[in-house]
Amino acid sequence: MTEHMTLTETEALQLLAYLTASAEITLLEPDLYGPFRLIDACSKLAGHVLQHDPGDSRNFWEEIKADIDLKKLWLMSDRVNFREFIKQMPAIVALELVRREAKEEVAK
Amino acid sequence: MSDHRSTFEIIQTRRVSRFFTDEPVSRDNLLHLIKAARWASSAGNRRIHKFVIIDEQKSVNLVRLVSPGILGNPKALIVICTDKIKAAMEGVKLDMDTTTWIDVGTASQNMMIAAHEMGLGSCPTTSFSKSAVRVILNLPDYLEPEYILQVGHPKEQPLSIGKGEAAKLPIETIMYWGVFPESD
Repeated sequence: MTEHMTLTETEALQLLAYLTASAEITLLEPDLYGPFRLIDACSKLAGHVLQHDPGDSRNFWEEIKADIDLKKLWLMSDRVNFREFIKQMPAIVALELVRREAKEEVAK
Repeated sequence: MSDHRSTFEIIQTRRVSRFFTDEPVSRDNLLHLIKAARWASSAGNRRIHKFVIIDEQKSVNLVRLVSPGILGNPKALIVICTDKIKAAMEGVKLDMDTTTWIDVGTASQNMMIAAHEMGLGSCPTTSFSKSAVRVILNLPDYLEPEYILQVGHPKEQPLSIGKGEAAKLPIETIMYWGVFPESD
């Protein structure tokens, strides 16, 4: 597992501001906005990681951010595919976890 | 500033803009939007709303951080606030009277149409933390932030956001003529 700096304390505070505001407004918003706010927070997290040096993981973070920024907007135009996208995202992240685990095993 | 489009054409071609260029919005243009809001209909002509204009980028960015509904990078924000002192003077029961929300809507729509006429983009926002916006703007207790209009020079919007959804709704699916027949 690469151990690069991913967030400054200020960036973490900005993310905290977004997440706490999301927690408040999702008390009132339609249910599907909960997943939307969370996936949007994932994009912001990826954006912060990319501000630093994610090393040879840069492609992964760039791709995941681009994918989220494109497909999160389906909430407003294509809710069926938005739901599918939300369901598929954890699998994409899991693939990266497995890939890294295997890479570390080889390195040992 | 004005063009030869009909009012209906301006209404019909307006779209929500969520993403903007880096070009600032002039104070003259922002003032023009407030004038448009001032001409909006208001329940009982009570006029209980105030407009807080934020065009300093540092403050815009702080509001963005606590407003998940702001997806892009607006250059200015117009915060519509309920003036609770004025509301009390007018006898408005804020916890029950939904006309106050209609007044926010009429002011907002006037501003969005006026913005579009000037070539500006705008986006209505209700997804923000009221408590956090209150702190960032140092709002006095008697002003309650209700709504934020994002303003800027529009850039091309992502295709995945969808375009002109309202135009796709067949008119017969949203309207009824006259009295409903009695059901058996």
